Amino acid sequence: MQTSPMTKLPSEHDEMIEEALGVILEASESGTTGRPEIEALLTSRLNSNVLKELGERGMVDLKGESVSLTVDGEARAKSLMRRSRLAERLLKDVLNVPDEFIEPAACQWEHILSKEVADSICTLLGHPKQSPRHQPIPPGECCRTSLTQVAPVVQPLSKIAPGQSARISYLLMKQHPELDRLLSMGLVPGTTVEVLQHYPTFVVQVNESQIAFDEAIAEGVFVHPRP
Amino acid sequence: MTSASPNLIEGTPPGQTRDLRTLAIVGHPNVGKSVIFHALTGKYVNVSNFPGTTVDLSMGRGKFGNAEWSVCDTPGVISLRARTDDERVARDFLLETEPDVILQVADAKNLSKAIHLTLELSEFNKPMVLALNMADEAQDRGITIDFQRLSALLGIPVIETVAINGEGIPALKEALSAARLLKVGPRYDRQLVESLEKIETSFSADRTGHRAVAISLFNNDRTVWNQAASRATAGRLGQLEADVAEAQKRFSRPAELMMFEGKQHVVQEIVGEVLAVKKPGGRGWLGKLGLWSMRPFPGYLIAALALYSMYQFVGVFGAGFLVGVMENDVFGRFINPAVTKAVNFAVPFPIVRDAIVGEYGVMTMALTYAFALILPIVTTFFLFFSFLEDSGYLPRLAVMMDRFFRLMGLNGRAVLPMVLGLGCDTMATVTTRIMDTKKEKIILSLLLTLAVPCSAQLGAILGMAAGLSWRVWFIWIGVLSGTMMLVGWAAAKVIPGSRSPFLVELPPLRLPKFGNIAKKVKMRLKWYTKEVIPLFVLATFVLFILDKIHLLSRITTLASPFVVGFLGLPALATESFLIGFFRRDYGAAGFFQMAQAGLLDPRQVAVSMVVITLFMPCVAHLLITIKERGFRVAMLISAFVFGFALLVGGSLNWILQRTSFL
Repeated sequence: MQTSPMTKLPSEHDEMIEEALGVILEASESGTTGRPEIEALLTSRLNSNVLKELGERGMVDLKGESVSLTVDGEARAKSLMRRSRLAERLLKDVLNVPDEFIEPAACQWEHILSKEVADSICTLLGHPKQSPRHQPIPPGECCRTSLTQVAPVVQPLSKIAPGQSARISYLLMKQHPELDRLLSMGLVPGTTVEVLQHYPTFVVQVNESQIAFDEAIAEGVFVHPRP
Repeated sequence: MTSASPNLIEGTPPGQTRDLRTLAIVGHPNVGKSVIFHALTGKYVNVSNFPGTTVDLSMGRGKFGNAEWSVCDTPGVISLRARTDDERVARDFLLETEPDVILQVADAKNLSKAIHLTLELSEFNKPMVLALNMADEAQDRGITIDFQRLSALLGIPVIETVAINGEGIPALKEALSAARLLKVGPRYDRQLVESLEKIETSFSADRTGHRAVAISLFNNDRTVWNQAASRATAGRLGQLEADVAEAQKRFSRPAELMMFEGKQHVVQEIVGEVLAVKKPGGRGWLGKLGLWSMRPFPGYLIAALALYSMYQFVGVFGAGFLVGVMENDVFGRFINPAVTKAVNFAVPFPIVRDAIVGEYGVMTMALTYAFALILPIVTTFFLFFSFLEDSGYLPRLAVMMDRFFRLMGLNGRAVLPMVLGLGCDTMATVTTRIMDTKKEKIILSLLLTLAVPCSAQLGAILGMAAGLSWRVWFIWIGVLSGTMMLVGWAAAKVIPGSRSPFLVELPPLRLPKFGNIAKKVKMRLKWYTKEVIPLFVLATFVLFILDKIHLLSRITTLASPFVVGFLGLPALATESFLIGFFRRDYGAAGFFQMAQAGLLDPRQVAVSMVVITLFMPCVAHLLITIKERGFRVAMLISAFVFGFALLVGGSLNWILQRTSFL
């Protein structure tokens, strides 16, 4: 990434601009919009305060006390966030890369993945909604049209036929408390479950426990089917 | 929290104060906490094979390892990030009383889960002992655990037990005096630890377990604020709130997940070192039966078979045969004539004689009902229910019934209170706590009050309809199940709140041990008789007084347009309704006698069966409902049920009079 011979690859400065947009978007997700806070964040994360430049390039609105992304800036930030988080999912679920290597790798990938490649990864993974670290993945074109030509590698547990086993890759629960319950009951990412039945409720075997739940929960447990 | 440690210590004689140590038993549901509590204290609490049946704290005393202990059995918890009422009860007990020692009881078959909870318990910062129970079942499944290594890794005594047979109990008693602080704890993200430590700076230094409070606060659990406030040093509450809010804002990932990960790595390291599993060779026949019982075929068949067996055992054997023997032979031929003779001989005042052996006599009416009619039925029901409970079948029935309960805004977990309600609605109302949301608890309380007949009453109803056409049964079952579904469905629409998803852990099917069943039945019967007999006597005495001051006949006349006109029943039925206010089974018994005496035609039998079934269960039930649901909700439920029961009865009467179905 240091010196790139390919013209299409972004320059280091462009990467930093993208990063900065990502930082502002993430900060606004957790409710931080004040200008001094944002400036401090940018300085600590990127060793440089590019806020002014972002304003000049029309990507952030610097009028007033707070910092907000313009339509253009937000689109670019979301696109970056999507690529980065999809990369994390791919590294984690398909390539089984150990946790500590995921983030650095994703941080580099995010800049070089094209929109089309991102959509292919997204489809391959079954249009995931959260990164492995449970941050939302902004939906892309492919999610809206629900492309399924590429068979998804990761599926909800509800799609696994009775008698089949699958490895849990992540849990997506609308309410977090149920997530906590499942984890405590042994439905932990990385463990193998055997689906025993679908009807009248789902029943799965996890190690020595049998656990029964309804579709609402089965649709929130994403697994990697095993032959 | 009842008579827990501080008060208890003050209440003991001075010489013993230093020796009384407090012990809290904590663990997942269904791992044998109550059995171990019994082994330590000699006190028996209800044990069952359904998650969530110990809903309160049980207190007892025991002497072991040269010390006297006050032992508390807490409700089963899946996690101490308390989400349900029982989990809160357990957590608050640990935080409030700060017991000297925590004994964690865990299932040896599920070591990872056990260690997860151990790590959560480490945050209460108390000396601990870990009992890995059901070691025999683990062995059968090819699971070997290196206990010494595990004990060394955790830094606390780890004891292998098969509590139900008493194996390992002496070693456990000894180990409790050697309890130690855990050597390991969760390894949270560094930034999370910083935030937690910041929160903890607001707590006073003379208490322990701050980490557990801080985590619940971070986890946005509002129910822990009381605890937090009681620990905060003066004037720090505002700072505390600010720290918690800041911590919550700092991380964009779900709190539960961050905490889970902090434990998961440690758990994997420990379990990896001490656990060896030989792959088992398929499931035994009980395992297979367990799976079959949850499939549409033959699951529904098995459920129907269970229901039919219950009818045979409770209905035919208990309510038919045993009641016959008790009522006609034991009481009719021996006890009542003998008591009557004795009273007539010994008591000179006719009014007192009447009060004891007259038409509304304590002996001839109340005690005859209680012992001859109700006791055999309740006993057979509890025998059957305890068998089902211990076998582990009920959670599987929950799987089969989940879709049905969903129509009523509930989920399959409601099956336990519903089936228990067939025995006693009052007991069942206590167990409504196993539901997660307030809405579900209210719906369940309403349905228990309205449409679930208790066993005492079922007995009388079985008797009333005996010998009548199947059509009477058809009407009763039809109206009752229709009412239940309609009211449940409407309540689900009207009552605000949400339904929680169905999620239950299935314990293995086991062959129940007779000794355990007998103990359970004994305990339930004790509870039941304590509650029932005073009420029977009271209700009868009120009737007696009303009769003597001629108020009874006046009430009967007053109510007769309604009872006779609207419900189409004989005027005498008013009496049964009156006593039905105390206990509806007693009211049902009244109708039973009227039917026996030939005072009711089939239409009247059907109407009275329906009305008395829908009626409010009893005074005790009302009190428990107030306690569990609050006064306002309990009153709303009662008013609705009372009006609705009469309305349904009146409509049924109107329809039956105009058709020739009966």
